[in-house]
Amino acid sequence: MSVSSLALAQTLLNGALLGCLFGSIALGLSVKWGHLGVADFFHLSLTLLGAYLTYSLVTEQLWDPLLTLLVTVPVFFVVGVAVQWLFLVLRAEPFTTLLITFALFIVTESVASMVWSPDLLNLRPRLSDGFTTSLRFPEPLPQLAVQPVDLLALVCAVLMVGVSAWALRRTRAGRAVQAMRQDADIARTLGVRVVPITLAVSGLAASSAAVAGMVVSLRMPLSPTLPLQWIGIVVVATMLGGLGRPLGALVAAVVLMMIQNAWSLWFPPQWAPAVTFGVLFLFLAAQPVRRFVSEATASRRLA
Amino acid sequence: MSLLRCTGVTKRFGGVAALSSVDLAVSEGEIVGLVGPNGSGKTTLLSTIAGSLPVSGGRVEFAGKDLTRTPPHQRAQAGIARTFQVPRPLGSFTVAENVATASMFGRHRTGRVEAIDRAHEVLEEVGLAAHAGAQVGALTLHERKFLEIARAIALDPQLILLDEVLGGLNPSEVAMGLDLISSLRDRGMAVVYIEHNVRAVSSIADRMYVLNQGRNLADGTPTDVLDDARVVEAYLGGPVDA
Ligand SMILES: Nc1ncnc2c1ncn2[C@@H]1O[C@H](COP(=O)(O)OP(=O)(O)OP(=O)(O)O)[C@@H](O)[C@H]1O
Ligand SMILES: [Mg+2]
Repeated sequence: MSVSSLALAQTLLNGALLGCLFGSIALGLSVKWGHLGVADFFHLSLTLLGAYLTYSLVTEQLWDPLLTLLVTVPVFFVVGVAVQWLFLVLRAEPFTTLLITFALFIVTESVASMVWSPDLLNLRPRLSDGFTTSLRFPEPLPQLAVQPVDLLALVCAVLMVGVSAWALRRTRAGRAVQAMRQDADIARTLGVRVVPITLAVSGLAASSAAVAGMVVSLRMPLSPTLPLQWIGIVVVATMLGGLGRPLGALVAAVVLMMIQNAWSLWFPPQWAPAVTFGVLFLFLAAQPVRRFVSEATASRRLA
Repeated sequence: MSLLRCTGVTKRFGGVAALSSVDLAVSEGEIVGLVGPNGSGKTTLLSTIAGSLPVSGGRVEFAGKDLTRTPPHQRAQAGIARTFQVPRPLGSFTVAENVATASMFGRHRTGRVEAIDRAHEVLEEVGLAAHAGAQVGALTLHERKFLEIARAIALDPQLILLDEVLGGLNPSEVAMGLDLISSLRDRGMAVVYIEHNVRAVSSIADRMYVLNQGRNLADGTPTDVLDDARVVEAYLGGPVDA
């Protein structure tokens, strides 16, 4: 089967933009996993809850989707702080936090089914044309089109990931987070206020789920099982990008979704998610090789 | 008035008492040597002063305030700095970034750029300026120990707690270290200095405390303490400076 280069370009573009959405979801996971040591599956559930809340506020209260952020972002911040506070109070080990967030992940699916029904809920018919009319690329590529929602996903991803990456590297608070991740006792000894920083990082991660959730509600029909469909790509992007590196996770998500979409042009689409795990497997398998090569070159330099 | 006053400090790990009602007082601008056999509780006492370990009983007062229940980061900001017996640099930071972290979050909470400048000054002072941009993994033991000191200095403390910072170093490195520690006193810091090498401690200490099995054994001027028969006996019955 031959595929026109135009179709390929459009497919890759769609993949990249969907990757931006997954990159925004991976942001919170990466930061919490890398810097707080919490592999937080509940973050995916929060994203789903953010999407459902947006849906309800738009359909029932007739709010503008973007305005819903004024409510969801602060509320989720508080939720993120509360969850981390619970871990601190329980003095939870990483494995305990994994169990708790996994339990919350399962519970949220049931709660979402009860509150919003297990059926697909689609916000798109309720949206103004500005959200749904696809946009043509300017010359010289007028054949390519993008959805406004995908552009919104791109903007949200770039803003959130950019600000996080910048803050981690370039601000005092970011230095504190990095010191704390390396050795919390030493950080305390150097005057770092570990507890407030931990709570704030968790709160901000949860707030990012509110933003990602809004994009989700505009982008796809909602169902309580969506997190199960995301978990593969989001976790793999988080790991490939390097734990605690939001920019890495975004790039990985974009590349993975481009590969998945391209795959679907030639091969059975139902296998596309497996491609993601294939890439992770290759990456992990390459680690010993990479180490061997870098050691070999290092020893040659010494010799 | 003392800058630091520990009264009846007790620390139990499970059923084992590592410290039993230990007293210690340090005045401004003095070097207090803290010695004792292995496992006598020196590091534990230092940790209770810095707040790294909560006490099981007793009081820790600093600059007239009761800090017994104060968390370690607040003690750092109040002016207490400590080093670790086994150096614990932040591994993914450079040498300068390690030191800058202390200056950013310590007593004067400087900005990021200012902190790096301050870090370079401190590294100059401890003789690590050439390694400012190096990864900590590349440092020798002697350099790691001096990095511990540099990080403590960068907090700009009133009291600095040094835990065997010269252990395992060669004689010329020890001499450099002793000069550095004396210079801290000269600019007004109080120092609590733990060292196995009793002769080294007694050469710069104004006063000394001896711990044995978690209890005060003796204190006083270095000469008095080293002449004390109980101290000689605690060190396995041998002469102390042999
Ligand atoms: N975290 C801990 N848990 C249990 N016991 C501990 C702990 N830390 C220290 N101890 C015990 O407390 C006692 C005092 O230890 P500490 O490290 O304070 O001695 P030290 O005088 O610093 O010894 P050294 O000269 O070997 O450094 C020892 O018996 C030690 O085994
Ligand atoms: Mg010790």
